[in-house]
Amino acid sequence: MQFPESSVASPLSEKGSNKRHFLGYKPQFYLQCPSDEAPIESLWEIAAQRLELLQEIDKLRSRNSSFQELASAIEKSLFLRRHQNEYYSYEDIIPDRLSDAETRDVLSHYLLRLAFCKERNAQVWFLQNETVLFQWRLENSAPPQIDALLDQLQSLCSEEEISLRKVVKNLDQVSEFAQLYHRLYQKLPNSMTLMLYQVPFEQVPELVRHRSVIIRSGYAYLFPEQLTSFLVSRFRSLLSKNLGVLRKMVHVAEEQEQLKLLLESLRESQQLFVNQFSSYSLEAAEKSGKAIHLEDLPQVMFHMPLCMFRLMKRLEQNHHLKHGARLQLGLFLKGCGLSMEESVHFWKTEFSKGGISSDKFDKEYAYAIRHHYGKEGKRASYTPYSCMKIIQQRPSAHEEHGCPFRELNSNSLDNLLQTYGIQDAECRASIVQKAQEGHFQVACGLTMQMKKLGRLTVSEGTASTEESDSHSITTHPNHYFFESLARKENYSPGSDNSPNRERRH
Amino acid sequence: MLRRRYYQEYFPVDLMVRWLSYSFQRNKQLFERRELSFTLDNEIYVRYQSFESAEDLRKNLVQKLPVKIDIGAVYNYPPCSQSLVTLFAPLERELVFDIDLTDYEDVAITKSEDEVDLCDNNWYLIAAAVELLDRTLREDFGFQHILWVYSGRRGVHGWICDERARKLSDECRDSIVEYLTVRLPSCLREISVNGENSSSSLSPDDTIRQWNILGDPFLKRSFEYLYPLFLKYVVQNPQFFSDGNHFKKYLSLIPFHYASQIEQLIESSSIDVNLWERIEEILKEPKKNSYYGLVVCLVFHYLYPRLDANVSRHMNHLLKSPFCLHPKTQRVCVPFSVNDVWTFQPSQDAPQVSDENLQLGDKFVVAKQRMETFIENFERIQKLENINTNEQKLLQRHDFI
Repeated sequence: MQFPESSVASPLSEKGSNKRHFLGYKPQFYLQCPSDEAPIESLWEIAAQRLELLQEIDKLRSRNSSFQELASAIEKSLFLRRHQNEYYSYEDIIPDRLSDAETRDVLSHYLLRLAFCKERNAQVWFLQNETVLFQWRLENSAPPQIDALLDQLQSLCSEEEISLRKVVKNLDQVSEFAQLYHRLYQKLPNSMTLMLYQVPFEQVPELVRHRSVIIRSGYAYLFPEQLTSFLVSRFRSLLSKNLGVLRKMVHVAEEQEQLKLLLESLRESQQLFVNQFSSYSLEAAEKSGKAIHLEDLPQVMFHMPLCMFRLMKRLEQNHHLKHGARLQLGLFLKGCGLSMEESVHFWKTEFSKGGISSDKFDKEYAYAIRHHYGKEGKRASYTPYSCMKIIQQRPSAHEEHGCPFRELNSNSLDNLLQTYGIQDAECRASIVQKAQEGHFQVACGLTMQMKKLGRLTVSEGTASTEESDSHSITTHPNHYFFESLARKENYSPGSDNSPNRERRH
Repeated sequence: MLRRRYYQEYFPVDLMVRWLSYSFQRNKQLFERRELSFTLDNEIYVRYQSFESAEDLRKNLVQKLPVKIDIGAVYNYPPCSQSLVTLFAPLERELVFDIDLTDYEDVAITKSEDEVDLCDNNWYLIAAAVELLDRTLREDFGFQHILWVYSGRRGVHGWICDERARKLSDECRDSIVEYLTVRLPSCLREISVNGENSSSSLSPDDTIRQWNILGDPFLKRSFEYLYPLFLKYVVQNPQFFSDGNHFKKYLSLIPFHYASQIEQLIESSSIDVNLWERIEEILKEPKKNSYYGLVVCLVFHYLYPRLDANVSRHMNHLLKSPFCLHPKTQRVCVPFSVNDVWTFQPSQDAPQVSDENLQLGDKFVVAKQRMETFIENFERIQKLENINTNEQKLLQRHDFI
């Protein structure tokens, strides 16, 4: 789809201010809680639109998109939405008092803030994506808007603290500023007098850390170019603080039945969004007809990612796994569709081969398994670990959970990969190298590709390069598993344990 | 028992309590909520101790006779009751630094089996670090109340006591540590990491030449300060050029082109100050008159402060208390003034408790006096500031745009 350059280029330009989407409004710190009255349908509408945009931002961020990519995606999406709104005459059905962009912007922000302040993960999610939105708006703002933001900040600071002032330095007298400017921007300042922003150094930790700011007597002197990063970090810390405060008061808002419904719906759709991308629930697996069962395990073992394959192998050999490993594998199997009864049976059978009696098992291990399924203790249903979680765990030397790409030395990793079915030594070497470089998830993604294609160069394979690239990073073991199963047709088995082609269920 | 007598008669409980309660701020709870931690005999650690008053502290010290006392953060509740509260969190804590000769092993010129002698003989490394840090913390960050304490064996601790420093978040502490951290090109870092040279650590000419300090005003200032010290304390040390562990080790890490020229020069001439000048000529070439690359790296390698960064990063990190006896050397951790840092001599100035000698003598009195002066200065300046603040505030507001 094509976008007229002029409209996309400056969505925040003053000229079209009454024409732009409220989510592309000028940046602000949202210091005042709105007191406007609004019909509940409009609230649903604007909150949903904001949530959708934040989700789009989140998707792009998770793909490590650059800020430029993010910016153009936001612009395109707002442009599209704007036209949709016009098409559905959305503007007409919104009552007058909501017609100005600022009100809608503030209201939608506060609605999401209310919805997501309750729970830690949601808070972080909201904070990160709102910060990106703020930064994008800032980058597209004219100087007067930035000055307005600075004023807003100024009004915030208490009597004791002078938060920010403008100072002018003459470069003849202070050569350091010119030197630093040159280092940062590879050019000299345009004029010999430089306008600087003085802030307490505590407010710009990122600039302090990299010594990209001159600090004197406790104040950091920012170049105008550095104002964005200062404002973004202020936005982040203000919002973070306010989310904490709001958390204690959210019950007041929820006393209104209609608002409570809206907030819960927002939370729910957010939960769905997060689940869709980062974890695979039992229900989701079953619904899509992919759930596996106990009798499938030996066949599908080679579709499991290396971290789980390693534990399965170890269990086969030792008939025992330590706590960390049981948790990692157990939750993974749960995510693959194993029911609680099946799980208990599976572990009991394996452990009995190692001499653990049924009685002992019931006493010492069964509880934990029921716990994972939310049938004991605080009755929380645990979700399978994501790659991030697995990588972050650092098992001690005698334990075997965690990410093998991180934990194993190159020899052991090479051996394991061979057992896993990667016969080509060159393939293994390239995987090991990725792991050594610290790209654990890339190494894992590569493993799946090589297992499937059985050779080094992706382009020679049946899959198009584009497809392979988009899957080259593993983010969740269960995702890996289901994807590997789905690609089964192309799978060329590298070992005797070739999986059964008929999929049950 | 010696330790009992030390805690009964010598340990300046009142001074410590006065320091830690910052009482002129009319906040008595500061001391009551401060975590002190004791290490008892047989390495038994008792964390989260807190005390109501000086008498309470004295009583406990004499009763428990800790081998070591550590100071932690001020919490939202008295730490002794931490098991009873649900939300227990640190609120403030001095910004602290730890410099230890252990991290200087590859550049310490004079060797000695005795730790304190070692510290005496290589004190210039510590002194340069302390003075540079002290200057930076004052000039750049605007801190005024910095208490330097000899750690009793081979290092020093810096306690930055300004209210602003005490309230720094962990993120800010970390950013300050990073600001103060200089990462030399990897070939030079190899020395400190592995303690030996290897051919693989040779770095191409360019890496070092690119490492210039001109664009980094902080490094430039630091270099201008350290360079004269380098000439005075390092180059004039006879072992610097002759001992294979020092300059020659450095030579093995720089591009062969320079190293071989310099080695020839050292072989063929007598060791004096002029030798360095001629070496420097070679090192600076081809960029004469600018302190690029190799010379800068060498000076930083020797004298730039090597911090134990993890001590400074977190508010609730423990650090040994001033006036504590060092568990190994039995020397008193005495405060010293930054003005005296170049004349301070650990073996002389830090009194030692020993079987024969329980009279800690004049040096101990001097140390207590320093602590008292530090606290008095602090209180005086704080009071002055309190009076002036309102006036200043009014003035400053006029500068707003």
